[in-house]
Amino acid sequence: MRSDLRTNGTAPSESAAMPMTLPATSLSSRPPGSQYPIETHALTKRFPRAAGWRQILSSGEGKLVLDGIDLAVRRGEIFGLLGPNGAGKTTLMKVLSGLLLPSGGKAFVAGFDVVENSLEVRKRIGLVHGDERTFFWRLSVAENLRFYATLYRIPRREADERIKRLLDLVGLTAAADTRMDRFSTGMKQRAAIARGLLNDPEILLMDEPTRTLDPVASRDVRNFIRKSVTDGGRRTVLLATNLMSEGEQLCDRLAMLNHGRVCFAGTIDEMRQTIQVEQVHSISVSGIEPEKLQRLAALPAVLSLSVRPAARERYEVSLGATRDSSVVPQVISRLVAEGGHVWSSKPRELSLEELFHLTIDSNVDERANGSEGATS
Amino acid sequence: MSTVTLAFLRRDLLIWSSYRTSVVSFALGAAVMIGIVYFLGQVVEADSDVLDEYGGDYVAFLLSGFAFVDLFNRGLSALPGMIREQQQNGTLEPLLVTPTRLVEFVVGSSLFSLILSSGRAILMLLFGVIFLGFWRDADPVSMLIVLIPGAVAVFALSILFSAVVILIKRADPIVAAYSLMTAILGGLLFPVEALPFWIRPFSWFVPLSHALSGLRLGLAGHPPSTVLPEVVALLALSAVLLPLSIVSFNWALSRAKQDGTLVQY
Repeated sequence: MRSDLRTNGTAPSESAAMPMTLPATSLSSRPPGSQYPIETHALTKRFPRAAGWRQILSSGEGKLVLDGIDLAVRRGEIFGLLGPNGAGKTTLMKVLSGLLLPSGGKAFVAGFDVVENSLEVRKRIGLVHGDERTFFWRLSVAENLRFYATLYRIPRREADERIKRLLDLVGLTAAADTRMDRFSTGMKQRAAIARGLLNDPEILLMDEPTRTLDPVASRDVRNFIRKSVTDGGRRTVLLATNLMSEGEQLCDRLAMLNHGRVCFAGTIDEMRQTIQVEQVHSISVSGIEPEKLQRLAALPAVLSLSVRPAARERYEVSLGATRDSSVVPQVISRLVAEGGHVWSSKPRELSLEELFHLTIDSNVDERANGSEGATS
Repeated sequence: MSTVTLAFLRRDLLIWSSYRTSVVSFALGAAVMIGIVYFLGQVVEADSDVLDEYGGDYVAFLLSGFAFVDLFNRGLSALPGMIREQQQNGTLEPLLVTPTRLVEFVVGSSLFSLILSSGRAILMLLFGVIFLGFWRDADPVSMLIVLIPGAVAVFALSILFSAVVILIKRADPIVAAYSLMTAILGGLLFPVEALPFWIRPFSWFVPLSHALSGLRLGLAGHPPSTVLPEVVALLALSAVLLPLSIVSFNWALSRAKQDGTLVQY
């Protein structure tokens, strides 16, 4: 569905945001073993605008990449960070893993402040990059993993057993001694997952793990994440992706990021309630211009509308509405009155992608209206 | 040496040995350097008075100079080079996510390169001893007490240049210019005493000049008391450079983490 879908402009409901909201008390002294494996409080990140030497000397205001992020990820869940490119997902991942320092606010991972206790945080996390260029390519995957196992202080014998088990888990046993410059992109990505799990982390951060993969390899990796990565709910996973289908398939809960702000956080069902578009009708129509179809958006009960060309000179109209509204008969009557031919009309669930666009649009509307936004 | 440092060493050895020509180019490098030194020693007529203190032979003077300057320069560029390489090949970020301590990372990243250069320096010195009859009366204690503070000073400079790499990415020209300058001021081709009077004070601030002078004196068989002034100078320089370099490196790392430029290349 296109971004011309629109909502009634209301902010996400308090109930949807509540599971993610934490009291802002005793932030700097939160002990290890906190209720949430990952927490952020008013987290901001600003990058300098200057470059090169000027960047070193500059101290002025820069580009705001994270804008007051409040999140709380529950133990054992796969929590998705969804958003378009440049939304701030990778920046948030890097702040949580200690690769970037926040400009403001607080972030706790496994109960430790990511700035003050970076070493403790790094002992407890694994990071899976979407970038395939993160290995020593002239070494085999087993040699790479053995090197990283030593950096994690895993005893030699235990490391060997763990590497064997992980390579088996990601299906790379046969290629264990093959140099990684001979690996396919999919194999490198599976190796990255094995490395992320090497220290048996409490928390696994996965930054677009299927970004460089073809559809088949992506499906395999997704199946693997769903089946094996959470280790029966013992491990918490924070998954950043810009693929809505990935978020829908894998995540227990998710946060929608746009321009560094959380537009929504909660389950997909909660998101549907928040958006207030309770049903979507797909209407197949012909014999009418798309401009006239777009005018249907002006009907009071229409909450969202998109028009897409379909086969045999037809158009598919996706119409978002509340469940009890009589908007669909009204629309069909109007289409027929204007000379259109209605081939079919069927209700369906909103996809996550459609929800995403609705949420983003809602967020943009609020910002344009000077609202505080939908940060939960 | 910690297991983490050894892991870096093993990694670099495996990568180095994965190139088929590594051993050949290593041996060839040493052979070419010996050839150049021998040629220079034969064609340049050196003032033997200036060289008396160092054994009097210009080939011996050059050979020891090239061996140690190569070692020190490699020590200087190993860490910044490794950081730059890892920024470019994308392996720096996964390393920094592990609970590796800064000192382990710094030492581990430069160790293999230093061992390789030490091997080349030893080969060159052994060539001088076995085939040219130099340094038969060398004093190893004198050499050792110079080598240790010299290595610390070079290590500190290396950390300082790494801070530059982290901040501006390209420190190669700076390292190259510094290496060339110190090779001249440090006495690679001729003793510092032969430099014009007004330049000599600059060489006092160059760790290489003290290290090279002390090591050559040790090779010539001078007792530890003779090299003591060089040791004191190196200790003084290290006392300034080491804290300065650690503070600079931490500041650069923190700045890069703030700016998001840590793994930019």
